[in-house]
Amino acid sequence: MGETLDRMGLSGEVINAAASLAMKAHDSTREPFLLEKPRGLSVAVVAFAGSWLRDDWWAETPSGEKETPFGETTIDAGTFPSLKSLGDDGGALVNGSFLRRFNAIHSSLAKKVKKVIGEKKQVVFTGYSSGAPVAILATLYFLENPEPNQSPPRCVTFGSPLVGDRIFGHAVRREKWSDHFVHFVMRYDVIPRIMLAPSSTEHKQILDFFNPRSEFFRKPIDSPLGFYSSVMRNASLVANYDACNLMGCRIPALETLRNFIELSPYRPFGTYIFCTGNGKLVVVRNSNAVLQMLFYCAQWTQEEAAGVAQRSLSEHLAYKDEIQESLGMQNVVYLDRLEEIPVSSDGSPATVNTALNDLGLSPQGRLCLQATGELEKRKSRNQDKIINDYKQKIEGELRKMRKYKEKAETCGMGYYDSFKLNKNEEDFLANMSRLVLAGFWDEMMEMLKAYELPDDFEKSHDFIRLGTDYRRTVEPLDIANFYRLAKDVETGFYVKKGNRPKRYRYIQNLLEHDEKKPSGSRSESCFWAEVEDFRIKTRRFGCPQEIKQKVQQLGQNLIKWIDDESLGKDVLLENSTFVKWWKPLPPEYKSEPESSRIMKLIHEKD
Amino acid sequence: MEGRRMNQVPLFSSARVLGNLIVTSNLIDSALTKILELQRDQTALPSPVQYRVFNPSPKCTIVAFVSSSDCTQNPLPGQGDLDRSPLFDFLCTEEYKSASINRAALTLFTSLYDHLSGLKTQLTEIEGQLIITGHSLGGSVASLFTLCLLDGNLLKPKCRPFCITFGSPLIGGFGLQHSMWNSFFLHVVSNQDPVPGLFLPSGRSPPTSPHSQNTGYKPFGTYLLCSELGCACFDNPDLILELLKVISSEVAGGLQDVDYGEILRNLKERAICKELPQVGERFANPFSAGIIVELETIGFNQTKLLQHNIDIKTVISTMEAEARNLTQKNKASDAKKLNEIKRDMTQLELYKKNSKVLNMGYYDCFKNQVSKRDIHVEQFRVNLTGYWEGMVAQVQRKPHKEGATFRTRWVYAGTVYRRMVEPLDIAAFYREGRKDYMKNKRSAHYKLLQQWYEEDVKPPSRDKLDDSKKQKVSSILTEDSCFWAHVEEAILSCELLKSENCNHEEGKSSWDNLVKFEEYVMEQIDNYAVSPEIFLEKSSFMKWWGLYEGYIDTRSNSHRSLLISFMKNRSYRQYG
Repeated sequence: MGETLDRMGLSGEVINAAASLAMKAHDSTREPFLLEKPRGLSVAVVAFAGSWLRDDWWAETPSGEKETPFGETTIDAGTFPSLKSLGDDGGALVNGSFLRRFNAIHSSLAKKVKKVIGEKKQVVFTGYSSGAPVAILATLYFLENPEPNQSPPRCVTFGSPLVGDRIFGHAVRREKWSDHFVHFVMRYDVIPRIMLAPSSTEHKQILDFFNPRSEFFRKPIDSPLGFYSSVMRNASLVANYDACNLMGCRIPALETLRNFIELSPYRPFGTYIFCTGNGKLVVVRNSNAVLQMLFYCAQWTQEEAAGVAQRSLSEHLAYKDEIQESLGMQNVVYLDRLEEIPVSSDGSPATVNTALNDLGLSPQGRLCLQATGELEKRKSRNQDKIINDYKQKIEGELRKMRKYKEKAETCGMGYYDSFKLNKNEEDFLANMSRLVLAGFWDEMMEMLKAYELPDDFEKSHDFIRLGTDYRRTVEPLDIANFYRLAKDVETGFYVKKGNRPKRYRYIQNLLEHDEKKPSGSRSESCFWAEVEDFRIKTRRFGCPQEIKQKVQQLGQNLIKWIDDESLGKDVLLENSTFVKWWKPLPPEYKSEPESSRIMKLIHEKD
Repeated sequence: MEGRRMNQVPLFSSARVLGNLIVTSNLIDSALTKILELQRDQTALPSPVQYRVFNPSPKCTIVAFVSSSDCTQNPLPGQGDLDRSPLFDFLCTEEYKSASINRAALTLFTSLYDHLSGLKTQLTEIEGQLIITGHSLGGSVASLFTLCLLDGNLLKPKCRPFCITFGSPLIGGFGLQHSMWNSFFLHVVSNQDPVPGLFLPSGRSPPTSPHSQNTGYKPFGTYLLCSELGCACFDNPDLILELLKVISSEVAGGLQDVDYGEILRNLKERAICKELPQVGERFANPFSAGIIVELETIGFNQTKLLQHNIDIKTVISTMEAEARNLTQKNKASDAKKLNEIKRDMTQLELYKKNSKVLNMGYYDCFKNQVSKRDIHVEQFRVNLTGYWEGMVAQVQRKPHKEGATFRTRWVYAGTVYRRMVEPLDIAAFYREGRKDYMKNKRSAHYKLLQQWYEEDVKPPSRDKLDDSKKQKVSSILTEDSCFWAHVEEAILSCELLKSENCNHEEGKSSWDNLVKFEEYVMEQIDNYAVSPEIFLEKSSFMKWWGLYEGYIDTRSNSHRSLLISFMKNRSYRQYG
């Protein structure tokens, strides 16, 4: 016997209320969204209208722009600041039409929802079919911009098409918002898979079938297998491509192949609940697994073909009844330990196996699910390795670095300059530590970029603190090395792209994101690079006004950073490169009151 | 043992998902369509092989090759032979010192050769996708043509080539397993098609001509093997060879063309349909489950494997070992290895620096094993040598041109390594009292690193030897990494000359060596190519000078040279 839905933190009543309002709102022609406070429940439900117009699913590519057969666009960073990759600053991709529909109602929605939040109600956003993506974006909006004392919003969707790409899902999981989203999907429903295929005439057929205003409304489609196999072929392409990577495919032709195939960017995210069609609910949290299931659950045998194609349409219309029945039965199976699921159809554990049989998962499909489970296990193993091993070693090296720094300060010029001279054995040893640390961080950065660590690892405060400590302590040495070897002569300013090691930029991004500070505001570890750069520029006679202002700015930043202790006072030692350059600078390079503060601080040291 | 097994991460075999990915992608359909189009238009064949260029879209170019079926249906004696051809000498690697090509394919290719040079020029202009495809021996010609394109490095960087063959016989004996090029070839083979294994000895190979050989065929690239049930991709040459042998020995009846169009249609449907229910089997792990199902899918069920003496357990364990090996390699990422190497080099720099305090260079420090630190140095030396031997071996496993491109990125770093570490090897060699390092001991990887450096890096012209080199000399590594071997040999010569039992001939040759050595050293000094460390009081070079000076002073007829005056005047104090 299965379990209940209690683990989801959503009661049957709420889900039922959401389902009926979602259906009602979907067909509403006048209201873009409906808000209800069901009696006896502590929640407010907000549901969104849908549309069957093709333009509301796939935006037309404006002429002259690069064609996007999947209708994706980069999400607007102002409204959704978290939905990006921290590694390379790339924004998440979302479906342009869905985003446009959200933007159109965004302000009127915000007004009404804020009122409900004021009444201490938890808000549940919901939507059916193309109403669902708007519900998803609305939920994300309130997660990104929370009202004071707001209890986190929830989102429940029924038969939702896919909305965002892999970065989108990664960012949601990183922010730990994944559990706020629950998506109900019927086994054969075509709509949750439709975004895996590029916009085509078959899509028009599908939308027309559902569209009450179309002449083809609910009319049998001529060759039902045509549209279904087109969608499934594309779903298979995405599922197989991801599976190759999940399974660690080492055949080099895969790389070449990537240039010859066009893949949908969209990927599932959040918790999926598959309705088997016999009242059972199968819960899957692993997004890679969901993608595989979207393909493998909907496969058919050659005999079933025509019937399945018909079901792929009819099941999209059957959510309300199916949900009601399933909630009544409360026969729920959680597919949690995917790496342990049985491969053959008579394997154990029995409940899991029956559920997989109910969904028609073939041995190949089950192997793919196992691979998704193994990937999660590998991620947490990597995380353990960092926590149990690398962390101590990094801290050990950083302690050595601090000793080196203290010792250098007693010689009156700070470790930056000592390292730059590179005269003593200590400098060599510090260089060793620098390289050891770079090794650890480069490896961790590689893991993060390859998604080989849990998504929320980037948000771990321990990790950010350690990284920031590392960046502030060691980056000055990288800069010293850079200018000691006069690399700027060939390649230019240190902070320029391609010069500054990516690990520092990445770690700085993590901190800025965590503190919700603008990009570039935490560049204190590049202080020395700016000093070196200005030192060269101010040497020239008739330095432009712009540089003078920038040097003033540097002085102001210096005071700010010294005060919040993100920069060490060693920069102010009498024999440091900074002091030797800054002190004799004429007054137009300095601003008050910072300049006097700096002078005072320099002399305190004497 | 238990612990190890616990740590072993389970692996997966992706042969089928990759196969299905390829089949559903429309890529091979578009290639095959053009082949069929060309075959249809080809009426009375004027030549046994033809090609045509198609442009189905502005971003895509397809070159299709077809051959007349005569070549495979009635192969002439000797068609299956492997011949050497100067055209394909570029395929030689360390493992395959000579590259041999199937005679039938080579003949067809050579007959088209003049046309193909024009085609090559045409293709250098294109950007985007480039599919080079062919059926049967036409596919072999497509492969040979693609190899020539790759070797010439003729394509624009934005051009993506992919060579796709259908039912093509193996084309030769050479290995591309370690080359990037391997990823540009996809061979589609049906389990009903005996042609791919045609020229194998066990196949229906035509009689070989006397004194020739037809063993040594080796598949390269990726094979998409298919049956009625589905398809799977493999790239292990030995496994592919074995499967091809079985296929070509099994197919009954005459050789007739297999309809790849029909096969593809079926495969595309299979790829999205549910597979046939399969026997309830317990698998040891997902990897063996994968392999068993994959082989079954391409028509090799367990009974058939047994019939042909293919042991599934051996297949699985070989494939697993190979996969683990590759995973391991990927794990130790390049960035990490590079950081470790930098660390070891920094350690040696420190060692070098500290040695100066002892009034001898790091060469003599290491040779005399004066301190405990020398033991650590030994470890760094071992690490670095292991790394660089590996890099050099990687170049050698690749075809020549590709190896050259690959190595230019690090030939400088390799040179710094050679200059830093080879003196340590020399020190260890002469410490044991042995003679003639250059002949007896010098490792091949040093020779190659030096050779590549000399090929890639043009020495600055004489008049460019300006002050900057003079200023920097104090911090350089001696440019000739074998400098110390020459010093040691010079010391041995001096000792021999001084000893009582030195006969006339030995004396003569020793003296000649010494004169040559003097000239050599003076040239190095003039070029600022040696580190001033050689003049440190306790260095082997100064030891040599001591011996030599003593000897020439006692010689009856006086000997003069630039070096002698340079040393006697202590001009070296101003050097560096």
